[in-house]
Amino acid sequence: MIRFVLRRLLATLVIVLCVASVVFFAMRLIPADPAEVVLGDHATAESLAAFRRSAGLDRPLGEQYRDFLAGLIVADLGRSLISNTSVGQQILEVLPYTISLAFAALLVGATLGIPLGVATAVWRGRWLDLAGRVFALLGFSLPAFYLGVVLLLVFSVWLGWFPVVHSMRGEGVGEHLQKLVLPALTLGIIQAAYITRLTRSTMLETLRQDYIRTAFAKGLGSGRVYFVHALRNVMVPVVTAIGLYTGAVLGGAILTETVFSRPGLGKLLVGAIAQRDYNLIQGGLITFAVLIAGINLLVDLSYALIDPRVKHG
Amino acid sequence: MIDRRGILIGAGALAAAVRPPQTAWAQRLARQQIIRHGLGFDDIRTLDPHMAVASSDIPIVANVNEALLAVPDGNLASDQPRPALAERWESSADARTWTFFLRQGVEWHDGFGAFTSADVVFSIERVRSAQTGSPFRSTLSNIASAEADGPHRVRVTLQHPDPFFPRLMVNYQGGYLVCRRAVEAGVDLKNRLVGTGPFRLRSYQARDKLVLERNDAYWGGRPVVESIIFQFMPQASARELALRTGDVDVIDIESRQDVVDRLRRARQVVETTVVGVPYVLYINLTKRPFDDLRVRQALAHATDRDNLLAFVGRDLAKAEHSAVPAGYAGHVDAVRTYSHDLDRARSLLREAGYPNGFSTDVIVSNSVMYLPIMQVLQEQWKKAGINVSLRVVDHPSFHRLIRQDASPLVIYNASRYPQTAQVYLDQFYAGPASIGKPTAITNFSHYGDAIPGIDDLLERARTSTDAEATQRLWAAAQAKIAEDLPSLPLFNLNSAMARSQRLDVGYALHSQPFYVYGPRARLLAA
Repeated sequence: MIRFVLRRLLATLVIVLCVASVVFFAMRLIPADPAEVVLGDHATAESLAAFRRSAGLDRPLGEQYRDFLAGLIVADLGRSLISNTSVGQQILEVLPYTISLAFAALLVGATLGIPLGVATAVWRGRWLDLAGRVFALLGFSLPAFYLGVVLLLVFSVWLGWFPVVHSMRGEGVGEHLQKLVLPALTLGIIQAAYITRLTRSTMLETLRQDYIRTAFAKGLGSGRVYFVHALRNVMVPVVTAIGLYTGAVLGGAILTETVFSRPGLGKLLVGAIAQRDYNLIQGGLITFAVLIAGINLLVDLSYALIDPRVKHG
Repeated sequence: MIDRRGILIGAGALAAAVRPPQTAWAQRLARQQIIRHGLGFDDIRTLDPHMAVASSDIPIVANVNEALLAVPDGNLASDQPRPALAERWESSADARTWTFFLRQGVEWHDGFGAFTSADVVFSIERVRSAQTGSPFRSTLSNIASAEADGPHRVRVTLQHPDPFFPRLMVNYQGGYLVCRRAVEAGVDLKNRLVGTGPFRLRSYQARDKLVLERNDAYWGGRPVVESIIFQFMPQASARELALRTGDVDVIDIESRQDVVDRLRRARQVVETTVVGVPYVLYINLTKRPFDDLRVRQALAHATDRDNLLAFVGRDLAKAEHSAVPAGYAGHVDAVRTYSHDLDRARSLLREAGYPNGFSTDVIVSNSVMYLPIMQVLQEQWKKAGINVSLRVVDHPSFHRLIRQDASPLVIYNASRYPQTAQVYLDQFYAGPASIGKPTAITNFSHYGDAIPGIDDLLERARTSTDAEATQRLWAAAQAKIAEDLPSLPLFNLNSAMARSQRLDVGYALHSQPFYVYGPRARLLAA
């Protein structure tokens, strides 16, 4: 088990290093740099040169890459090329908002998706199955930026239950939770759609297994058969999918944070890309890579808990 | 005997008599004087007044930093600046030496001490220094020297006479004053504002919000508003919803007819500027087939401005034919125009050797400012046989590629300050401003080099001290451009801002596409 974790951590380090290097060079291949973005259409050759000099962008690429790697080893992600503030600090400031949003969205997705998936499989072909499938289809089809605006329109504009602006720094826990509801629903509903479909199809497959028939034959109640015998086996692929889907949730957070004017890693990254803030983009993407790799490691470890037959060697 | 009806009528009359007039009710101030401004951006670019060119930064800087003079509220086109940190100013008879008499007792924010002539000289030199890399350096290139004459007087000597020089010393672009002590103490102006204005920086949270608070010691009087929260809200629909629910009091909006109409229907106040932002199609004179005048004329005849205006919004856009936008000093309407005439366009193409038309690739930004308009033009030109393939790139890439001569046609919108023909023509049509040169600005057509003649007119206008002669030279330049067709001016689009009825800014927008909340701005009770 420990060897497994160590091996995975080592692989994660290699992945992060690769991501960081690809991002470093890819960003510099895209036309336009931070100097051009900041100076806009007033840019002159002279002002561009002055900006690049002050930001260190006039140095040879190899030298910039070497400094970047040296910083990475000591967990120093550098300073923003636009605001000259610490990248690490900017990421740490917004990270809790993204993590809480992703966690809340997963919670909504799993809470809605798993029971709905089980129910639609058990009552296959009935009205509940139809409703569940329509819900899943809608969830698949609605992009986060659209669903978010619809939720804002209904719950904020018409009903007045939630604010439109989800800026939250310096506010209390209650307000944080209140401002988490709509963004979490937006992301969670979309995720619930995926989980519903996956749970339904896996459940249908499982219900055809011999051991389920045996369980019914020996007189067990249907609740016990579905939720103890069947669901436990359904959960392995579902948890795998949830783990894999976390990347998509974090990606969806980019749009959700923008719609709800909510601070977060996604919003930070989108802004950094628009501004060509190389250091911030590198820092943001490395954080994403670490998060996703970390979640996948947790998912792998959870298999052993769900299914005792799985062993990590 | 007075009956019950009589008592009621009498009570009603009494109530009507003692009730204050409707206007007085409407003018009552809100208890909480906090303006929430939904900015249509993800974050600031830079708060350094001498570097800030983005619409995300300019409105913030304008509430904090000041200049020797100030434009009248909302009117960047005005040639009548008013006193600000200079109480008065005078010039020598030849308009080469300008003396500014500074206001005394003005303090910089955050304890950086008194404002003096040293700050003025420092600021002017900072903009002029190549080390700073200010994009406004060229606007102050006529200054030969700036000297302090005591703590409250500054003398500026120009290389050439300029009767309009005070317009460069206003609260916009290179005219802003920064605090010498703060800069020398190592304050990073990129993300920290130190000014003398009615509001000062309280806090800034990247990609979330920036908060300004009232400067109680403001020389122009204590502002009514306690604080201004600039909330970064890049999503247009979220800004609109926030305005409608009262979560914010003012928002940046896209200047589009449907947006304006929708917000007005929702009983929000939408203000539009009078002087619009010019949308111009620049034609690269060095690229075939556009080096042929007949092809450029064919393009002009194939362009249907009425159709374009209907698309953009008739209340917001006005057709433009001159190289100098309407509203800018020196603009003339009397230039050659090209009617929408597809037969004429086809015949010109035949004459030029393109009987079956031609195809070309054009680079365009994915910004909503440009892409939809280019798509409309693409369809219009197709009818005349001009087939344009649009290569859509993101906005920063667009800016780089068009400066590398990568596109034969460049759609571009830009305002320039001061709003005079000279500035606009110098930057978009003068030979030295051609892209690719060390002195390049935004001459995408290479006019002046590919077709000579304009530089002489502009040089004579620049050095002329006779206002009428200057006007004539500007008019001649516009007439020449309309004949040579290095560009196709399309329309001027008025900028728009939306605010709640509660917010009283104290003035109307004229040519300034953003609000500056002075000491008189206030929020009224609902």
